[in-house]
Amino acid sequence: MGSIFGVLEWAKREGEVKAIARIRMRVLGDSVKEGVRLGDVKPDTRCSPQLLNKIRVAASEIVGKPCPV
Amino acid sequence: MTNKNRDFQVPLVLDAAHRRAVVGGEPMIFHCHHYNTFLQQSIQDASYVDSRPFLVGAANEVAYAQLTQLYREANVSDVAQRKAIAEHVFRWAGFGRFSLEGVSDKGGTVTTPHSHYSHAWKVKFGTSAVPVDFFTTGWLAGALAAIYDQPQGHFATRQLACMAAGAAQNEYELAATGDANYRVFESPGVGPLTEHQVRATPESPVDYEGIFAALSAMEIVGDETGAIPAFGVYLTRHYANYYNRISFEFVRDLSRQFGDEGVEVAQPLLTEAGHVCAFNTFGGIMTSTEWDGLIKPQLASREDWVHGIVAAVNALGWGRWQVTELDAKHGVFTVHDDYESVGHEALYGKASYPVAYLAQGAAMGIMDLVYVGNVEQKPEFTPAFYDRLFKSEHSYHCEVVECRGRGDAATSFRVYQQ
Repeated sequence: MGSIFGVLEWAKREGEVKAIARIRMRVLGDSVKEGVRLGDVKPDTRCSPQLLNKIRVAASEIVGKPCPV
Repeated sequence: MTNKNRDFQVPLVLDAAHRRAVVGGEPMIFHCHHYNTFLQQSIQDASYVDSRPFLVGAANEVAYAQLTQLYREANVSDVAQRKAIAEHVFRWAGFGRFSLEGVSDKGGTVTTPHSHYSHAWKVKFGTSAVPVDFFTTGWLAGALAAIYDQPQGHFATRQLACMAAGAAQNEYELAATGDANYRVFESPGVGPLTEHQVRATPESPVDYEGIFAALSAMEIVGDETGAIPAFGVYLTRHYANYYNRISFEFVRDLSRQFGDEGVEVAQPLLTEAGHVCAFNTFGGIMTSTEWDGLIKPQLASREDWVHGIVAAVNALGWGRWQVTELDAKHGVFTVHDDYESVGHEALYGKASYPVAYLAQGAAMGIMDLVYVGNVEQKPEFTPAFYDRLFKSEHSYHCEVVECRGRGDAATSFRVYQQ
C-alpha cells in the first residue's frame, strides 16, 4: 500500500502547479478529523486507509489519470 | 433581444485618483475567463462548503444594486426599457447575451447559447458533470427584482441546463415565490477609499499616466454575443463586489469549520487564481499589438517591462499599482485601494490576516513572466509553458509587507527569488 507522501509526490510531479493545494482543499474535512496536515506531510506520515483512499481519488481526479502509488 | 436599448450608454464613471471604474454604484474590474473559472473551481473543490447560496447570492446582489441605481439615475420605469438596459449591461460587460422578453413579474424561463461562464468552463476544463453558471443564475434574479421594483430575494432562481454540461444552450428558471433559494446580501457599493500619496518609484521612462489614460479610453466591450475576446483570453468587466463576496464568504466558511487551517488552505488557491490571471492576461497584453504600439517603444530594460505592465494594470480597476523597488532578484509592489482590501473592509471590517490574494498572485506572475518567462520573445501561453514557468526553481515567491485589509495604509508585497 502507498503512503500519503508517495501520492502527494506523484501529484506534485504529474499535476498542475497547485495540485497539492487542490487535493488539500478537497479532503480538508477528513484530514482535520485525523489531525493530518497535508501541507506538512513527511515520508513517515500515516493516516487511515479511508483517508489515504480519499487522497488518492482526489489526486487522480486533479491530475487527470489514475494514481499508481 | 428587446429593442429599446439602442440609445442606452453604460454610464461608466472613471475615478482616476483611485484607479476605479464605477457603473451604477458598483466598482467594475477587468478579469479573464481563466481567473473566473479557476476561482470558482477552487471554491467548488471544497464540497463540504455549501457554496451555491453565496455564488448565486453574490451575483444577485450586484445586479440588483447596480440596476436599481441605473434605473433611478436614468429615471426609467417602463418595464420593457428596464429589461433592455439589463440585457445591454450584461452583454457590455462580456457575460454573454440573453433576452428577457419571455419573463414577467411572475418569473419565467430564460435561454441562451451565449454565457461567459459556461463557455469559459468548457474551454478551460472541458465538460462538467453539473451546471456551472451560478453567476448568470443569480444575476437574472437580481435583475428581475430590480426591473419589477421588488425586494431582493423576491425571485427564486435555478439553472436547468448548461452548455458546459453538454446542453445545446443554457436555461434558467425564475419564479416569484418571495422565497430566495440563495443568500441575500446588501451591496456595499464603492466602499471606503483612501486619500493617498503616490509613492516614489525607481526611475523609468514608462509614462504611467499616459498608459493609464490611453488604456482607460479603449472601448473594451462585449460583441454581438456578449463576449470580449481580447489579448488571447475572454475578458469580463466584472464586479469587484462579486469577487470579494464569493472569496471572503468561502474563506469565512472555512474558518468557521476549521479555524486557522481553513484560512491557510484557501490562501494558496486564491493566490494561484491571480497567478493564472497574470500569466494569461498579462502575458496576452505584453505580446499584443496594442502593447507593441503603445508601451513597448518606452521600454529599454526588463525593469521597464515590469513598469509597463504595472502601468497597464492601473487601467483594470484594481486600485493604484506601483512598483517601488525593483531588480531581477526582487520587486516591491504597492497597491493603494486594492479592491480586495477595500471590499473586505466594506463587507466585514478589518481582517486579521492578509486578504489581497489576487494582487499577490498577479505580482508574482508579472515577475515570473518578465524575468523567467522571457515574455519579450512572445511565447505561446500554453498550460505546458505555465507548468514549466511556475514549477521552475527560479519562480518568484511573495511575502506580504502590509495589507490595507488588515488596517495598514496600503497593500504591498515583496516578490523575490529564493
